[in-house]
Amino acid sequence: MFARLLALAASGVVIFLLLPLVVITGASFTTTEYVTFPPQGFTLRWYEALLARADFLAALRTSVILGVLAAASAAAIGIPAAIGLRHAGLPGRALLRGIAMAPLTLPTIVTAVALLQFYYAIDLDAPLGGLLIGHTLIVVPYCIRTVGAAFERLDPALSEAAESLGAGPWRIHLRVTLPAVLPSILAALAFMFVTSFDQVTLSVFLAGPDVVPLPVRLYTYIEFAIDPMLAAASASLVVLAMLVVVLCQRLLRLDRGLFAGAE
Amino acid sequence: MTLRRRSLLAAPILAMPAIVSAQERPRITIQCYGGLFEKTMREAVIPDFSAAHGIDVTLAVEDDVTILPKLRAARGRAPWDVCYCDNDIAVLGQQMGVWAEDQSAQMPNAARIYPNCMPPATANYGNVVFEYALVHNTRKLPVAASWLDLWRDDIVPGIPHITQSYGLTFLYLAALLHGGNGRNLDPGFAAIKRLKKFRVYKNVSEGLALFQQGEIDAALFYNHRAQQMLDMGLPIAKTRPKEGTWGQHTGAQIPKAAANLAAARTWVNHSLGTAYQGAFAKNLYGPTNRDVTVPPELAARLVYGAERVEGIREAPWDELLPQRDALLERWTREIG
Repeated sequence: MFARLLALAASGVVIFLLLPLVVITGASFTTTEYVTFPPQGFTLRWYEALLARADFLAALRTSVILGVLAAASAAAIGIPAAIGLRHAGLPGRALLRGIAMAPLTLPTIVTAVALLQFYYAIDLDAPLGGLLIGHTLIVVPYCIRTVGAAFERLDPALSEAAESLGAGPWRIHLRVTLPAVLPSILAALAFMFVTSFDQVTLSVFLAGPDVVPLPVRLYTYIEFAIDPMLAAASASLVVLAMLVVVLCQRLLRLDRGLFAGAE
Repeated sequence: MTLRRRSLLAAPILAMPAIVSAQERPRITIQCYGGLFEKTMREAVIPDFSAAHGIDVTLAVEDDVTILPKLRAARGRAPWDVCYCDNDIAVLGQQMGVWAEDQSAQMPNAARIYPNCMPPATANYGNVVFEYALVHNTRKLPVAASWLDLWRDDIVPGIPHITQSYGLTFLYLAALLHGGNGRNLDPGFAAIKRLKKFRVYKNVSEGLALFQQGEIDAALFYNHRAQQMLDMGLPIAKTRPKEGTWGQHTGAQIPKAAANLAAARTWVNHSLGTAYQGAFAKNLYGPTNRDVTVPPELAARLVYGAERVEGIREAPWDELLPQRDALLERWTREIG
């Protein structure tokens, strides 16, 4: 009985999560000039209109580049930080961990305005660079948290065994520790990419006229018009995100890394 | 040296004048609204402007809500040469000292603009005038005569959020209708809270969606947006109630720290001209230049002519804006 109730509740949650996606995807095929569900008729013209929008495609390209660079930069900072924080002998470890997580505790809008003022103060006139610094700042705690958790649960016997076989500290890290936490690193990379790709608040303040990430372009569009082209854009992004998740799961066993991070 | 190698060497040299010429063309960055406004700019305004004045334009699509914090942070290096904003935002910017001195004396087209759309009457160079009508779904509210019809028990009104100019205008109007004024908005809050059912809309597109989906039956809404819904075939009517209508002067401003003041001035002057405003009028944006002529059937669908344009009333910003933070906090607490 309990199992059936649990299954029912789980189905309810799945339906609750999927329903908006069904509505938005359905609405993208309507022949009306406005968003409506169920769709009236069937057309692909909103997808054609979307593909004809060079600004939307440029924004998509910017978001993908930014997401990849932010995830890579944050990994370059976050993985060594997670390794460093793992050492029990490090003085003020708890304080350092708190500082590393600080970007998560600050409201994003405060970070955005502070960064904007800082960029003007140092005369930084590079919107992509500015966005990259901001996005890296926002996503790096996810890397430290996920990879750090994987390090915490790593069996110390592995390193000890390698050491007893004559491996030095670098070799142990590169050949033993890092491969063991690789699923978590990949999970962190995927999560950081998605977080950066989805970031609106920070990007609204830091984007320049020629460098506009997709969420900002969608946001500025939605402020003044909601038409089925927007539904087509949303449906395309949903499909794209699903493909990325499925591919990551198939190729990288993402769930292992996320599970390790959650522990 | 073969002919091919010579050609390869010569090509960059031959291309140099074109590159130099492209580099020498002045460029301005203009912040403007999205949607139909952006479309009109890109398709009907910028190509002609660039051809006529030899100035390239970079368009930065962004709502006017974030421009003031950006300009304040920017200080000596504004991200745009020209900004588009509603008059209340322009008034706030004026108080913050982010705009350049009034340039209208150096804009020949300024003389043809209705005086209530230009400094000193407004804080921006008004190139569009909007009117807020009482827009209603004719299936739920066939006839409307007064703003007080929004308080009928058998309809669901849409209430604009006060982060928008029209939201603040509506709160003022609600206060005015119930015994308050610009300095005493308590009756407005009380009247909104007294509504049995209502939906708050935070921007134009959300309001449009709510009308289209039949989730609101009536609201204070842009006249031209109502016309668009009518053109789509929706059962909508727009009424100018007996108490009169309010509106908004939207226009351009030049930041004090604009990189290219002369080109910015050229743009703003162009935006006050008949070609620019005629292009916008085709998309139902009311012109502020008295010389813009439109066909009678179009004139009937937009805010047009001296009587209509000069009759547009704005909310008393000098009274409302100083209270804005407190009003927003109260709105969040009491209305949502």
